[in-house]
Amino acid sequence: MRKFVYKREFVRPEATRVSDGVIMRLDDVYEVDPDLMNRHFHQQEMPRWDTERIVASRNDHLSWMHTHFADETLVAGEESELDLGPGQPRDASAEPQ
Amino acid sequence: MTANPTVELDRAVVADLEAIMDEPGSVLTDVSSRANRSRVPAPFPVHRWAEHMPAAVVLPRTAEQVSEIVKLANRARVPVVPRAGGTGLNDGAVPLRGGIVVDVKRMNQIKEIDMIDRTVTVGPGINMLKLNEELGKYHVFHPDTPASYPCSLVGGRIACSGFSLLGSRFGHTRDLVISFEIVLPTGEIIRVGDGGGKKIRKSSTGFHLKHLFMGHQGTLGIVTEATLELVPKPEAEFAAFFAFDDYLRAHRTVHGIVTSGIATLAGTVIFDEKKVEYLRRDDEAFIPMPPWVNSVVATALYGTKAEVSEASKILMDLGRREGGRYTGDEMAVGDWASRHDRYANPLHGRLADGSVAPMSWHCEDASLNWSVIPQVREEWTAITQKYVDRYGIFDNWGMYCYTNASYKPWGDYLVEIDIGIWEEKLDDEKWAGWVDLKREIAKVSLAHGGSISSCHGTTRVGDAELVPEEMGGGWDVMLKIKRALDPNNIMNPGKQMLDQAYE
Repeated sequence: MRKFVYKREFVRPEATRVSDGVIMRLDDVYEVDPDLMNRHFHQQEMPRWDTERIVASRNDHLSWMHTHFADETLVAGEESELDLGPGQPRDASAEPQ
Repeated sequence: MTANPTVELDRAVVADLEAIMDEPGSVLTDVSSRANRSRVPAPFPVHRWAEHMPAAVVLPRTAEQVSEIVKLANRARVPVVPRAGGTGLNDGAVPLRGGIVVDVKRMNQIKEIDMIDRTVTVGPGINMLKLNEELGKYHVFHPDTPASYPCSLVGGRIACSGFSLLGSRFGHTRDLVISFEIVLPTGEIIRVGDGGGKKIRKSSTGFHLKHLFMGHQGTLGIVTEATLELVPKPEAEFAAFFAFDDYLRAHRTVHGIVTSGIATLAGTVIFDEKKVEYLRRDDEAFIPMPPWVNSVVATALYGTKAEVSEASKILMDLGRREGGRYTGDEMAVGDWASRHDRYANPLHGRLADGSVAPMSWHCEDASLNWSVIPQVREEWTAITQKYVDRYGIFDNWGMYCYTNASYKPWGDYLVEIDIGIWEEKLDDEKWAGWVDLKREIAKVSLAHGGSISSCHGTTRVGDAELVPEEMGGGWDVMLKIKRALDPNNIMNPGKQMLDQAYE
């Protein structure tokens, strides 16, 4: 059981900027920059525990969705190649026919 | 925008409804019950909400009750609007002339699971997720999986002739519903299939009436029971996403994948540049993709473990052939699961200055051949930008293309453009602008030999007036059928230009 520490659960961590319009306070939890949310409506003040609850609930739901549709989820077992930059088309004529 | 003449209910009609239903709480006339059944997620003229209020809501449990309600509506000349999940992306379930909304949610029973002839018979009010939870006990499933999978109901799927995310492998709603029972606009209860036979999948007897009523949008009756396909629950699934710096490479990659002959290929999706931009800025599935990424291809396989395991190696090769970069296992698993549940999207968008505004989601769809998608994408994007600039209440959330054909992944695609709309700002002028936007997009689809809608339907103004053009000589046949089956025009009147049948 996780110990409930008031200060930890109610104080929102400092934000780090991810991109021009996106910040992150908790790992892999992205938020629209609150500075963009001060004209038409404001970002809701949400304690850390509630954010974590919603994210965990969504992740549980997505995990459940996999087992709902198939007995087993296979993956390629490969890392993201996004850091390599754009790829180039393979020369089909160079491939064995 | 002209006001629709809504039909109020006489007290005597309400009393007759209560006599038919004979159950407390099954005839609702309070404002909240009616208001909650007057719109769907598709954009709605909130400034004219009162004109879309039904006069009463009924919650039947049997086909006989539905039949009696429809007969009463004929006698009283009151409109009847069927409603299942109310999750449609057109306005099939929206009352345009008041009247009685027949909400089928209480008709949600699983009546029979037949493991010998592989069917399940259900009421129209059951949801596919709940159905498949039960079917999972038998290691079978009903593979109709729309973006609204957790919330849409079987009756609505038939009414819209729905699209399934896994349709290229298992078929779409029209293929997965073997037969169904429908209450006609005059109250008779009939069963329609390919021919006769509740569980017969292929027949040459008579007209194929199932296909006439499939996609009826509530204009030809109310479905009260359906017999559905069962398939073995897949042993394995495999998803992979590939990123591109060029849309045309993504487009060619998809062609290579869908024509490869992989039998377990269940679906392939292209995300365009605007969609990638949206995922970066506002979607729950935000993934910090580097700036060079402007399109993504998503693919998924379902089948036995042996089949999927071998096919995944071919798929990984095909995904990279045009320069695609694999986005990693985490995105493959997480984002593919969320494809089954796209109604959990953010309810905000951006204005021209980047500020955030509350917005509802509109998804404009079409069926288009693979060869025309790049050109259509350019035209749709330009049209949408014009209206974003002109009105200041819209936001372009980008485009998807999904493989659209049943049992084969090539040929035509469900092409969608998602648009955010700040509904609170709607007035007659802006709503008219919205309708013009829809119409321009639909015209592009027709100009490129496509169909205005793959799965949402064409009931709403903006699409509806172009249906005669798309149907050609078939439009007159449609009018004759409508008038023959619904002589008093009580079944969901005002939709899809079908009022022309009575002129």
